[in-house]
Amino acid sequence: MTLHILEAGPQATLQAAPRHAYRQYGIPASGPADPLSHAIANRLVGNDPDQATIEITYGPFATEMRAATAIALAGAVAPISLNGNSQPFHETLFVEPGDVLEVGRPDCGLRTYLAISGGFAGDEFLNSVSTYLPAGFGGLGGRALQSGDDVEMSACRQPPPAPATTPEALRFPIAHSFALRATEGPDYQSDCEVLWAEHFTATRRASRIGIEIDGAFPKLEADANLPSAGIFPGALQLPPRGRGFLLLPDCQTTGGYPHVLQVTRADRHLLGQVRPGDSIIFLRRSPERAADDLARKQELIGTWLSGFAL
Amino acid sequence: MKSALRILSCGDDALRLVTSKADHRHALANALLKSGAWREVVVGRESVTVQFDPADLSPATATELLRSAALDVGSVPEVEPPVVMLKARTDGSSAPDLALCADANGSSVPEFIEKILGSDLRVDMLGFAPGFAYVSGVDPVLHGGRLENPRQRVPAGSIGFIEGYLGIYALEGPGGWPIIGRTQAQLFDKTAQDPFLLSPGARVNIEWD
Repeated sequence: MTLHILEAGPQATLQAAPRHAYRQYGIPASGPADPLSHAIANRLVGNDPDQATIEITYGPFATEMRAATAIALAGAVAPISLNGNSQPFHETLFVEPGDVLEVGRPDCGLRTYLAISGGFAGDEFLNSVSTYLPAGFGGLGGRALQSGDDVEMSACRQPPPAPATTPEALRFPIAHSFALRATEGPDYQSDCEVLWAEHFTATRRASRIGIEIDGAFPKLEADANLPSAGIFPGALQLPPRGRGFLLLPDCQTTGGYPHVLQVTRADRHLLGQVRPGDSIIFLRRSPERAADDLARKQELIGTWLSGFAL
Repeated sequence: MKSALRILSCGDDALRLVTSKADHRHALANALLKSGAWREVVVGRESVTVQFDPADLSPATATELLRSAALDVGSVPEVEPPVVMLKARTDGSSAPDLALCADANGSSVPEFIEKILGSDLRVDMLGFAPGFAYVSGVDPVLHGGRLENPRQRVPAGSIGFIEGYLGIYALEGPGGWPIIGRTQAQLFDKTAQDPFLLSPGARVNIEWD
């Protein structure tokens, strides 16, 4: 045993690599809502990007270490301390048995990632340890962590990591407003032009499945149920008479609501940090330009974080 | 086939090919899965949607690749779809809504089952929940809609009916389909290479107890 959860907060889950190539069976990807921050935390403790971290959703979170090891935190920046002494984000932290880590509430952003040298162990389901709460797959018995849980370290032991710090250029700023690059979705029509000019606000309906956003939406002609078709995280759906719904990694694999915009692959990691009340605008991109944006961002990330693709 | 091809962009890393012919959809999805060029292949009611990695394929190249795959599929010899045999129980706890469904169609339970037995059933797509199979081909004379109050827990193996379709639950979960039977068959085996017994395009024969 390496970690004893003292306080799990609103929702803490084990997340690792997404479940790829099972969508034809209706299995969502899952995996970290902010995969870049997850990979950064792993890198700081010498792990490969697919190893399991704890995704902490809006603290407070507290845990007692039961082994001498290295940990690191990345993502939404919150006050953190070890035995009451304040500690930095984005740095390798060396801990001893009995040390108590406390994570407070972030000022901005929603999800903080806690990585441990060697990664956490969890139930592997279809090649991934990532937790999918709606069906109880992966993680610790398919559920969110609870106070009193013991989370094991994975069996893959590795030498202690060299101390590391995330380069400034890779600490993507998280604020209360998001400008997300997006392309037209398959159900985009001329009435959707207004989406590029509107400021939207994230509502309280926010989970790993998706984020509801409020604002002025176009009335679509064909707003009846469309034939169910494949959808992916990053889609903006427009249910009839409803608000927009931005999909996250636990979203269903098919949907029948008009899919009007798609957040580009380069910016999807930011969706995991949108919290209720935050404002969102969409920046229009063509698919080709979005692919160029992705290549540039990937190159920047690759300077320090190898083996990780957005 | 050429004139029927419509490809829609679903972002910088996904494309949707709209094709309502079930045989074409299923044959295309199989070919796309086998090609290894796509990260995900999802069969929809009238479409096949693929996701790709823009680091490997530009959106324009991916579109051309998908288009040529869709055109090629017509010329590929039709692979016989798998046939899955299922035994279903229709006792009260396995089929809580069977009598109501039959009643709503002015039939007795045996008459209702007879109509479904005479249907040419095929897995149209999987979605909505992990392993949930939409099975098309139910005799259109049978009518019926969703439950007014969805159930919080539908047991694995449950078979639902909504006009034109059966919905088969591979895993336990919430659901709004009236349940007309339950199969004991292992629809999901987490240790198998193909963890789900039903896949898009499969033919389904149900033996009702």
